[in-house]
Amino acid sequence: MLLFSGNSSKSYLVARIAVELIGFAKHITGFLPNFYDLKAENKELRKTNVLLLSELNQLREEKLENIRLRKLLGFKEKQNNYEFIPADVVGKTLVSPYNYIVLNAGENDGVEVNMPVVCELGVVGKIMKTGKNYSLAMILFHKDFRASVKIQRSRVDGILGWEGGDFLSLMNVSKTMDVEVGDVVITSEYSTIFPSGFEIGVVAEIDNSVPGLFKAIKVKPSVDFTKLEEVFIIKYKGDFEREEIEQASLENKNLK
Amino acid sequence: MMLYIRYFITGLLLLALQIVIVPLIAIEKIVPDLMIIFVVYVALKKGQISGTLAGFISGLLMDLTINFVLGLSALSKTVAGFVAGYFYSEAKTSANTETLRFLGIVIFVSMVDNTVYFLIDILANSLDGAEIAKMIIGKTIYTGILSLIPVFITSKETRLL
Repeated sequence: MLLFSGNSSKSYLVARIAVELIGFAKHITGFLPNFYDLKAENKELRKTNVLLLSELNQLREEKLENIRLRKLLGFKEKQNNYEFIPADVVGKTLVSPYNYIVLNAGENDGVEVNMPVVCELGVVGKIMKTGKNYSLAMILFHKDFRASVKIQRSRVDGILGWEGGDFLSLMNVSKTMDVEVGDVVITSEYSTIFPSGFEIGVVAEIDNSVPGLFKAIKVKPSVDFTKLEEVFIIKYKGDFEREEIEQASLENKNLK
Repeated sequence: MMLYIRYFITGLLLLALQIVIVPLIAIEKIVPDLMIIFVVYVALKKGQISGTLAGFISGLLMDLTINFVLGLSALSKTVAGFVAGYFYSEAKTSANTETLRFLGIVIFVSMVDNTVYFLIDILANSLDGAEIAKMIIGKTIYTGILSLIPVFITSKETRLL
């Protein structure tokens, strides 16, 4: 019975109190390190630091080149109808099938359920619960996370989900479609939650030998959740007109 | 009545540890379940009804504060508390909670708890089978190891067998 009573006002109130309590507790204890990972993380960070420095120089060059090319082509900037709410990650759970992060931004900052969460590397997840000053966002490594995505190079569409482990799964991609290891996966226009064009990960493995019509594709997320500290919540206004048309079309089909 | 209040406060303290400290001692994303140790302890001390009730309350609190999936832990912990109640014997209360028998019961009940918890995923095929097996076995073993702490604490003469 409890599984189906998530929308009542009482359970909503209890959930809000729980979010505030967890947010506060995680905020207070956020400085505590995971001793098991600390040494390995330190080594990894130093390695990353060296790599990032060389990458930074390369990116500066590419940025200048990009500006020149945009001017040359008269490339029109995409109009974004959203604003960003900055938030710090004050707590995270990465050890269960229902992984989430606790953010120090809530309803008082304009955060609402289902708003997308991103960082400079790509998509982080979406808001699942809100309190007054804190909110919980389900990350890509959450059993119930789904997103409509596409391969940036070949424009092949698919559904992204998580089935356990360190990789995401790109589902519903036919075996005849053009997908290669190293392809970048981005959010697609079909998504009613995420704005299109945000990077979500890179194709890491492709298996065509699985039974059925679809490939088994593993995607490595762009975001390293173990090091995630700051995020942006996008005040994204979904395309309600499109949703209404889709809904009306579905209702018409059901009537027939 | 006073004893039940003490159990409730102990349960709340363990829940706080489960929320704050336990993620920090995760090994390969495997975490122990302190609440199941508590549920088994209550069931072995007070019987099946108390164990089932402790399971339901602790599971519900875990749902509200850890998983945010209302009902799932409540269900698995209720079943776990009920199963743990079968090991209750008024004459063997000390033997059950102060010897290595406690470890065995915790491992068995933890396995039941995790199996019920992941049952939907097993049936729906929504998580990789190997991943589920790793989680169930890993959590069970880790929880079992931690259950030795109350055994050592409560064992008056350190008679472990």
